[in-house]
Amino acid sequence: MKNLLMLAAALTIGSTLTSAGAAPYVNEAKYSNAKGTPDMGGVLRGANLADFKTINPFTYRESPSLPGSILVAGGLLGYDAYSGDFTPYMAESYTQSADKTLFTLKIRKGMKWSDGEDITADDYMTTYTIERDEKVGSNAFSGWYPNEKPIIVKKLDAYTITIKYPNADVTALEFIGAYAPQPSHIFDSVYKTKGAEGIKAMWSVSTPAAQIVSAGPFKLERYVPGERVTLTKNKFFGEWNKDSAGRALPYLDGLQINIVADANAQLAAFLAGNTDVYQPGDRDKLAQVKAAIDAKKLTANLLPNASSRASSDFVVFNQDTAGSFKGKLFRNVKFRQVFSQLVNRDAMVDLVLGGLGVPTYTGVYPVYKDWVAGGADQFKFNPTAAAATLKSLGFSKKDKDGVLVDAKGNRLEFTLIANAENTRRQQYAKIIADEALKVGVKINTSFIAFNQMSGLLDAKPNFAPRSFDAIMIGLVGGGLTYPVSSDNVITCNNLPADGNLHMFNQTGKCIYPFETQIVNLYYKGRGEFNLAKRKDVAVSIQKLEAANQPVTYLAAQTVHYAWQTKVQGEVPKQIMRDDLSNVIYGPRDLALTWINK
Amino acid sequence: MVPFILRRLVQLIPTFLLATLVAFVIIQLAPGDFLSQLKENPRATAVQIQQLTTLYGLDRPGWQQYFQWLFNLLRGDLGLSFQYNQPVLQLIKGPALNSLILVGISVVISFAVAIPVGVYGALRPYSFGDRFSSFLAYFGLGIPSFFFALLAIYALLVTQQTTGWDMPIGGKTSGSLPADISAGRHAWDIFVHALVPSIILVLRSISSDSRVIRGQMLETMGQDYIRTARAKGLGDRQVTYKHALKIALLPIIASIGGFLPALIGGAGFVEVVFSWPGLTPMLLSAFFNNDLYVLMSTLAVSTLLYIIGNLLSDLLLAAVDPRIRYT
Repeated sequence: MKNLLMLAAALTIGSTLTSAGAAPYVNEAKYSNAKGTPDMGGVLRGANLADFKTINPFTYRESPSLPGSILVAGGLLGYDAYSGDFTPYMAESYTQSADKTLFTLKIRKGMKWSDGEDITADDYMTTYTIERDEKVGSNAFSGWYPNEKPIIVKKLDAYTITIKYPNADVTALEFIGAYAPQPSHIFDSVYKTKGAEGIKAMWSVSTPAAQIVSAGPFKLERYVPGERVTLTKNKFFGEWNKDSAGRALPYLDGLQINIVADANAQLAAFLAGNTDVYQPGDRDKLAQVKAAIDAKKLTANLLPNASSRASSDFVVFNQDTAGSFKGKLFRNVKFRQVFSQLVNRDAMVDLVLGGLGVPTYTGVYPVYKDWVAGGADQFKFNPTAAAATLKSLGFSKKDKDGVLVDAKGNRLEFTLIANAENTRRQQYAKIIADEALKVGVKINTSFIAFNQMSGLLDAKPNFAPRSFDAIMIGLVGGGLTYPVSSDNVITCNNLPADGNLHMFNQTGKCIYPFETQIVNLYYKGRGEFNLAKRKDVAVSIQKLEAANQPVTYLAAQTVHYAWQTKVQGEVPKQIMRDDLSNVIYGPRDLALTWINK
Repeated sequence: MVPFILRRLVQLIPTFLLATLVAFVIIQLAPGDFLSQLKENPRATAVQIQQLTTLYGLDRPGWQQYFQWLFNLLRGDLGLSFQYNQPVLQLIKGPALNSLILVGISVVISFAVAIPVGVYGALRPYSFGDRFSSFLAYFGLGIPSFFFALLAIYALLVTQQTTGWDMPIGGKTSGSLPADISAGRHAWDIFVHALVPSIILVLRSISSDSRVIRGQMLETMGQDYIRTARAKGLGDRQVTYKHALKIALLPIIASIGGFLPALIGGAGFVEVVFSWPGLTPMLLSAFFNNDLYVLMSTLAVSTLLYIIGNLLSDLLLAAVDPRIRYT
């Protein structure tokens, strides 16, 4: 969340220029709620549920991670949460070709790694070269191949690079915004001599902290596996990052991340004052924090329902085959609409989420509220209408168990599977089954291990029909610029044999016209640079989803934040969002956070 | 004695192989693999999944994976963790040592409390003290330790909030201490953190061991040779501790072999609830992520320790009980 900095504007603030004559980046005050002069020093203490597995920026897979969430300054561009624009950050300026495929970026001079080495174009080339080596197995690999065509990065001089996109793509700025450098003076020689294996062996959790280099506001001081990570201020960060009064950032002396593997123990640690920030995961924990504050046992701020979560829960029917009674039924759009009308989303929010959530009707996570299409709730909970439609589909009689049957004697009964680890989904499933039975639809619920469930969802060899009726699952992850869907969720033709998320149809071919329409609209949106027009495309996609119910969306949780009152500098409520918050430290820019003495 | 040990050591080989094979098959039977979670990520592409499958050797047949692992194990290489990209041996050293601290303190507390309580109960059966300790023992046996741990954390929290007494409520060390404290201060810090989880951990074994000792003592005290000892004019103390307790302890000694695998098996959910960086949290994470070789290798090592522990128990029994002879 870095704001726009015009070069001319920075040059007028003469006093903030570094000795090298480079312009530092000014972190504007509008990203922090803190009032008054910040106190310098102090350590901000947070907690993480799991041990960190690695510090290697090329091989990490976890979230949150040290290299991805903590030891980074940011990317070439920042994101202005107020305007939605991508603005210069580690790049001090950039230009874009007329066809919007070639970006030329001037890298900010005066930036340094925590060991004092300059950050230059070479460091961006290191990221580019190593992330694209398939033998390294970086999570970032696929990002370099949008639509399976490569992005090409070239170094023009020590402080200039060009990025060439295969097509005009509206998500390009978001990708460039996240494009972070990796220290070439550390990784290049290893990569040249030992290749991918050499890179994979670097920076494990047992590597001495002094060898780990960071571009961010903090560098690693000590990591005791299973116990805690301590980080200390990177003084070089302050040379190119100032606050609006010209003070070097960060204000804090350091960070501490305690490994607390149990959710109840995390709550206890916060209530005991052993951690400074906390995110109550459910209604009960929220209530306990509230009670402790009310009883004056805890001096903390609590912000319930601060933002919706950037994740979804939905039910997907197996529509692979029309050869069976159930297959035919699940392929009937009227039946899927009926199912949506049997989902009592308000009851899910009230009973399961304790009122702390919102019903959802489309695939756009509710956190992107500007993008969620209005009127997508045409098939909201309505058992009367559902019963009438079922009658028109030929289900007019009930058998002795009260389950609807058609003229051929087929019972309206199927099995809904959810993962056993997730009590929320199990409770959702029970609510659906209860309401459905009232109109004569018998839904059996079955709760199995997540891996087993995902095995049922995966495509079978030669795209043979899969063997399940309905599964309740969710997705996380997406993008800021175009948060509608993603390639591997919508693609229906020429599916790869594995790893595809087009969950309702794994036949390898599109079966409905709306599937092709959504694919076409999606790529039209990817090439649409006008925000308003792009949102129109997003609305069209969601309307198709709402009308055809390829999957049925249920409800989304909201997030809650708590922090000890002495912690200053959370972002204003207006731009407080789950997807923009630090996974460990919550809705704050760590560089602008300080502790009241 | 020596042929007996040798014979047991030879028997160890097929037992060990069979145990690892069963473990491997069971792990392989579990649905999914290390990459199952990644497959449901909208940003992971099929090409990427394919690459990683090859990278981790997950595309090879199961028997090949097993023999490769076994071959490496014989050379002292426990394999590589997928999650950490680090050798398993290096990975489990720290957590194993941490678990050892908890289990070690627990063993000491267990013997120090269970033996006197058991003996007291046998010497004064159905007295108030005996009834009270029996009540506590049934309570200790009945309550799940992870649940009791949560209650303990709550009690510590309330105590801290009302009295301001700064008792650690989780973790292994205090985050507010500087890194350069003396070794003695550091050891004390760890001990203070380990105390409550150790006590909770030990409740169960105190409860069961004290009941066993009490029962055994009661039975032994009624034996003829005890009457004989008394008739010889031996003092109460000598009769109780030299003649009766030695025999009453036999079942406890027979179970000592179980301590060895427990040392590496981790202290269970108490570690998770108290954020103690032992083996259990690590094994749980390996379990949930199908981190194959971490699971296999810790299972193999604890199997080995179990077999050796049993052997040790047998030898100890022979040393204590004159009636047992190994040939």
